[in-house]
Amino acid sequence: MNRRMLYAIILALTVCGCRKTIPVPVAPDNYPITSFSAVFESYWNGMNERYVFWDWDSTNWDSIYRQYKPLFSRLDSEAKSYSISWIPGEDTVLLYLEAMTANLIDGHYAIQSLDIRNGADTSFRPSYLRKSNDSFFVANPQIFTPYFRNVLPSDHLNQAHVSDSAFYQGDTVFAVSGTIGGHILYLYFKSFHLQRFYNVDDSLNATLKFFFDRFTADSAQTYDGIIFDVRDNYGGEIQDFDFILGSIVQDQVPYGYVRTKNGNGRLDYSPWTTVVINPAKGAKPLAPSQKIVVLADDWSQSAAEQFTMAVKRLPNSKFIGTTTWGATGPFFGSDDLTDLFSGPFNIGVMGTSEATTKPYGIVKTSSCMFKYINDSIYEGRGFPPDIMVRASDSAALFSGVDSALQTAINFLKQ
Amino acid sequence: MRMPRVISMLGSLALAMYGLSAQAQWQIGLEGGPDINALKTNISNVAMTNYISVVSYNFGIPVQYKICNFLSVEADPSFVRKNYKLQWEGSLSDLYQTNKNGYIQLPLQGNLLFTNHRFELSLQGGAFAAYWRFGKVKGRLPDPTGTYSYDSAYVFRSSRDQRWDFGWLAGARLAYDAGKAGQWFIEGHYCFSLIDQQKNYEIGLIPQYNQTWIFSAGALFKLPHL
Repeated sequence: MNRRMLYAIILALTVCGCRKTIPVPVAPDNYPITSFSAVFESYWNGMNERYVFWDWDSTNWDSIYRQYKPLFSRLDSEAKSYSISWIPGEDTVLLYLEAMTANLIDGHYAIQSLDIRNGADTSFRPSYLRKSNDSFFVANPQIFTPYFRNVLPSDHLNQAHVSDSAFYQGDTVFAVSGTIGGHILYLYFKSFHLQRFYNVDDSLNATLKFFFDRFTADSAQTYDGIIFDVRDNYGGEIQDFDFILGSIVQDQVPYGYVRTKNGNGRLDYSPWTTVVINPAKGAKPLAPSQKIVVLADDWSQSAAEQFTMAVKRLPNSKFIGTTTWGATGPFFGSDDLTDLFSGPFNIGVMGTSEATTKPYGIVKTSSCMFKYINDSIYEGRGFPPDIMVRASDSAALFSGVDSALQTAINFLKQ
Repeated sequence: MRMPRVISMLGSLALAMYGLSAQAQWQIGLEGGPDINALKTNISNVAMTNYISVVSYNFGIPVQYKICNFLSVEADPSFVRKNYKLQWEGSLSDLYQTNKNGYIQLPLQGNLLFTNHRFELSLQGGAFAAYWRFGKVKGRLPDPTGTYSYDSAYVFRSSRDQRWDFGWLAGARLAYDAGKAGQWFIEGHYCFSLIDQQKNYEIGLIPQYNQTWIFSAGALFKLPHL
């Protein structure tokens, strides 16, 4: 009997042990920033856990760890050897962060509000730095708003309606509607917050009603074609797709797939789910003779790119302009959902009291991956047009020459 | 002096084995019942999230070889569901994902037997190997327009998923000998995985281990001497 008990005890003891220790992960926002090494650990781990594109991205994040961890440690050593604070190395931190992120494909990706105290630029966006190298890239998008608000309505539209500007979560919201030559219906909008302001903002309401009252199945007698202009549109709320297009689709129109992260591991993903345009009640398709053109350009981003792809799924549609920005991965409905496994995060926390704490920097990154309905991936490279038309320079635009718009008009006349 | 002692010991062992083999017998049976699995990992960096245990089922075909009246060895090829659930709390409590994983498992164990009339208590210990045969995921997660629901097959990724699993097990079985009607039993096992469900594909990867309580009821039937 004693021997049997001994066997039992030996068996029980062997059941324990022999596993790797499970570490306790720290949220990137919670790293106390007391050294350059802490900046690195917070940033690297935050990216490791919350960046959604590791499945597609060519950046080897483990190599980045092995290469840059010693460099950040060296900054700490150098700061100590000067017997002063760790501030002098911050210029170098910025250079390191730019180099670490240079090839990330996330078109939304930006590091903002870096706590650099020597007056250097404290924000950067890798996709902007890459696009700036393209000689055709319009680097000063400020020209577009006065063009769309003032020049385009007077030079190209009949019955022009231009709304006032509203603002939502940092986005400017305005729209322009009208007709061209009496047979083309035209709508420009600066961002996708139209439904949010519809029936709220009187001037936007009037502009949109002019368009939507005519954007109907029985408009074929009057309008040969429709132009959606999302040039210089930075995106917004995807719910607007149903609001804008729902009246002309009778069934759901799938245009892509999204997925998000469901764990800390780089490859922890939810299944892909289909995203669709949903029909509105009583929706009727346009007449087969009617064509749709979507105008988009380098500065068309995020929801504007997905909208361009969604319109391309409709019959008789054409995309004219230049390849879009390449920031197709959407954000969640709210940016403050940090209790999830992907999306924006803060780099550590500085300060000791609740009143003075602030992050070392803010990382803006997509919450979801997006791919087109044919499985093509346009993140980081942009959605290409059917008809490539380079943007007219500002002198031409302001003297009434809009090459992309003219190409759209010519196409709709055919 | 040494040589005769070794011969003497070997002789004693041979006699003992002969005695054991005279009692040895094979039994085969069927068993099945509920199991409860937990994923052991740490996601405390994402507030409001927890992995919680999920009850599922298992069934198997135990094959036992009784060495002597107090010891038997057993293999139990079986199918075991090792499910778990990721659940958010508070304002995000509608978000979740349930992983339903099916494993083909082969436990090999020794049973220490304590017999009293027709009742037999076994203390069991051993090891198991398992292969992650398939998975399903069902859940609701956020998307740009709110949330989306899904219920689909889990798509394995060779770069991420470690489909082989090994570990220790321990348990107990209470059996009743019903004579020609077989030996009917209930039992409980605890399976303790030693293998991370993920391949070591990134620096600082947080391991994920299955821990499974397996409960079953079944019967063993004696086979003719082989």
